[in-house]
Amino acid sequence: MAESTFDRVCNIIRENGGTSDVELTPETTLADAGLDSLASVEAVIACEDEFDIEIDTDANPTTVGEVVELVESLMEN
Amino acid sequence: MAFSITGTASALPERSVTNDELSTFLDTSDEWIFPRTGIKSRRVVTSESLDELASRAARAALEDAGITAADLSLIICTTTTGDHLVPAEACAIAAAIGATCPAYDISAACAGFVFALDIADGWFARGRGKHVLIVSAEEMTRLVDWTDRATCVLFGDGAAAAVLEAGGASPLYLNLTCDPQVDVLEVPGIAGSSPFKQRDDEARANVLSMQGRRVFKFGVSTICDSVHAMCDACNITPADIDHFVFHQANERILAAATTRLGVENDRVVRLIEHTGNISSACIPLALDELARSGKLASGQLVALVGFGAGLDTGACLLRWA
Ligand SMILES: CC(C)(COP(=O)(O)OP(=O)(O)OC[C@H]1O[C@@H](n2cnc3c(N)ncnc32)[C@H](O)[C@@H]1OP(=O)(O)O)[C@@H](O)C(=O)NCCC(=O)NCCS
Repeated sequence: MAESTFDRVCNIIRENGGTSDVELTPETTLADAGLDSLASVEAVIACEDEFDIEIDTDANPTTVGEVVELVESLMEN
Repeated sequence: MAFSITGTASALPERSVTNDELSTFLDTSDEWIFPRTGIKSRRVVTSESLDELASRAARAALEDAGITAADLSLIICTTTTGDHLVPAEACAIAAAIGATCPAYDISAACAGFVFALDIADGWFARGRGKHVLIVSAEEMTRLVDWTDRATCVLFGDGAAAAVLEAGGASPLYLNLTCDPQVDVLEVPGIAGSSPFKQRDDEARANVLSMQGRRVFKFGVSTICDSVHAMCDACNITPADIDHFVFHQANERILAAATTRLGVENDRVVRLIEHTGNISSACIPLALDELARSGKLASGQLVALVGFGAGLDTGACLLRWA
């Protein structure tokens, strides 16, 4: 089965400085996931590459769920 | 016609200021600054003038190239922070080294050095002369807001120079771009005191302001896009490039771009840890350090990407002479 967007976003968060000891849910904030403010920009850039989309810098998602929503809305276009 | 770089040199101020020292008067810490920027200390001007630093770098570069000031046909200074708005900083350098060739400044913020390479390339192509001196000299500490911890911790001062000689194999590629976004990174100009002026510029503080996350994202993407465009144009891959000299804005920008390009870490020059961001002086300083370290061999490919306010980007592929 293909990986869900949520799983792929979680992998990106872990690869960009997220700690492995926090279980990620849509409600987890990026800060609680272990990302500092710059790591959240790095994760956004990694999402652009992974999903082949372009994310506006002003879009400033703060939770895992918000990242997933943002990615899915851009993939539909 | 093309050119080769035949001499490099640099001159940094004596005084080094650590993150801990900044935390004595700013609400900041080494624990915040180092992991987010890769900066541990920066060189800052105290009693030196920028004229002195720039002239020292210029003289040493001439010596390194084995020529004298009389051999120069043009001096370009890249700066946004000169000791003089008028005349050009380049004229002060000419006076100090005893040159009488044309001398002027250009402003392309942190991308300045690569923009100057393009000017020199055109100068040689038009047959205007044999040697061009480029001096990149910046006193960023006079431009930053020392109460803004999100910007003042990033920058430092210094000068670096390169002598170019007509003829040679460089540039294999040179491309300049601008994605115009003035307020992302800006220092307002002089307000002045004209009795006729009706717009109120007084309120605009004469210091640097920046949208950090925007600049960060721009930095990573413009480095990667530039390297890919350069490789496509030259029919090579990033693996064929021996050294990458990117503008030293933030270690995290360098790290993200390095990962994204899939190149080995040790081919990407780093000097930000002990210099901070010295704007346009970063690239020639990095070239000088590379040349002095003995790591640069004749025939090697060196990719330069300068980027910054504008938002300007200058990318250049050199074959080292
Ligand atoms: C400047 C930069 C390091 C800031 O990182 P950031 O993650 O964007 O940080 P922010 O400005 O969003 O600030 C995040 C928090 O850290 C704080 N902070 C900022 N600078 C700080 C410092 N030096 N020390 C301690 N805390 C600091 C902020 O006040 C903010 O706190 P808050 O959330 O309580 O308000 C980063 O954006 C960057 O390097 N961008 C590129 C800049 C650049 O390279 N410019 C030159 C290009 S030529």
